[in-house]
Amino acid sequence: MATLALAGCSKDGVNPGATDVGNGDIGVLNFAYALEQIEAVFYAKVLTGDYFTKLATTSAEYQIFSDLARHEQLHVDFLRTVLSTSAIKVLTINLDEQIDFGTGLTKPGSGKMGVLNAARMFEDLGVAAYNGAASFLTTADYLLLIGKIVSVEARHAALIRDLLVASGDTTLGTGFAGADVVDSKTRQEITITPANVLTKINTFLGADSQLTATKLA
Amino acid sequence: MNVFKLLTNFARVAPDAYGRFSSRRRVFRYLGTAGWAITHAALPSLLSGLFQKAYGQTALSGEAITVLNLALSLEYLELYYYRAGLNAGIFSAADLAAFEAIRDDEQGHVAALRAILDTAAIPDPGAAAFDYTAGGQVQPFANVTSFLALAQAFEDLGVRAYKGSLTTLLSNKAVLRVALNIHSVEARHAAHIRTLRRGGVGVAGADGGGPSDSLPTSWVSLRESNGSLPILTAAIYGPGTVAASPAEDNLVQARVNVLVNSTSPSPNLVLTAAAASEAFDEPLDTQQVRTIARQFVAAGNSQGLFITK
Repeated sequence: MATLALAGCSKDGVNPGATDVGNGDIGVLNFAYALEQIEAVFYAKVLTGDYFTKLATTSAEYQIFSDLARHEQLHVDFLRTVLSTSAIKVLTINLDEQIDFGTGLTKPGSGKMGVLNAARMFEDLGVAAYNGAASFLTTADYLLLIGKIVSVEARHAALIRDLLVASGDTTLGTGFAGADVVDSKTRQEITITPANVLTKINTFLGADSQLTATKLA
Repeated sequence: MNVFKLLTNFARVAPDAYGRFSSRRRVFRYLGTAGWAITHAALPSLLSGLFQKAYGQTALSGEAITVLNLALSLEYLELYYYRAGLNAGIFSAADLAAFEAIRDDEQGHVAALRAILDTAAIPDPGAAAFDYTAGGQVQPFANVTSFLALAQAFEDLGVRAYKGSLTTLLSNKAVLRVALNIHSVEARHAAHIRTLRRGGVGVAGADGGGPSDSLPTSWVSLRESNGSLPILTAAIYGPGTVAASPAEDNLVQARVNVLVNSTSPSPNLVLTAAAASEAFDEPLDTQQVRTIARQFVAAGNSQGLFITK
């Protein structure tokens, strides 16, 4: 009865005051909207921080983080429009406690490494989350939309990982597609369930903005 | 052991359980065929059969077989390309591990697709089925620069092709998940190849890829100046043969112009058409994918690759 053992999840962990993202298409799109809200707020904050503002405007990193901020803002505004009245609220997002936006450009623990590590975490998580949630969609057009976004997130993740490798990080394997994100046997992206994604991102959300995805399971 | 209580409990922890069984009635009908007097000894095999029916692989539709075999053909195109590049000895020591990893990824994707397609899979076409010079138009194994130009083309084409296959696979969740999990890996490859092409992470890319696509960003920007090898690659960034496959410079998603729809988060940051095109990758339909890929099939030894049925 191995199949039954796998179904041992319970609802004990559900946060009673939390907002549920919903079911099916709406649930997945709201889940995506939540991820994009956090990414957009993160990159907007990077743009005002010490690391970014000291970069030459012609530098690669200035261009990269400007593009990332643009892409995620475009995603979040688009998803809000598509969801219309079904959208979850604008979330309260707290990044400073966990992410080092501080000064300094090269040392580990400096602003640059804090930003790069957080960007990698959000982008890899985004890819794993979109892939893990997409099969709960029921409408082909929305599946295609999620497909159009997830490959862009994967491109982001690959570049940030390559940037980290070039900055001396030795924990990411080949960088762009390391074994922590691409299974070394199946050579496929490792997905994360919506519930497990929310466990991670709820730590960046205020008490009034906690999320659950009980129907995406 | 009460089988009905067991199923009820299972449905409580896995709310879609009855959905997977099509209907509650079907479960009981299935059990009914074994007679109502189910012995303890018979239960394990009976339930195992039930779960296999519900969770096991459902038959692939003809359309699914078509898109999966096209994906498999593209994986062979890539696999033999990276193998030939590695055999040519053109990579620096610093880049070698990445190209070996990409080759191994493509090999894994071949295996995954063959496992899904089973007896419906095309035969391995072999390296000789491909002509990576496209009839002598390019020499991709002469040096790294030439190699990367065609690698970018193949990876970006692969991302568009997998994206184009998703809606066909929507009804088969297990297969859809595999396609999604390969699709994003191809996008990671594409980003890395593009980063290498512009000279590494320290070199800024240009909107639209810059002159002759010599400075590609890690994401697809506008139409990439028709790609890394315009005669061979312009169509990779252009429109497909159906409305659902617009060119890569498309700005309209779900009837929303995403650029007009959005507001910059900072007065120092201007949202541009290039950025709006970059933020969404576009799918490509099977017919157009075949037309593009057919340029790299060996004359006289096509093995039936990329032929429109």
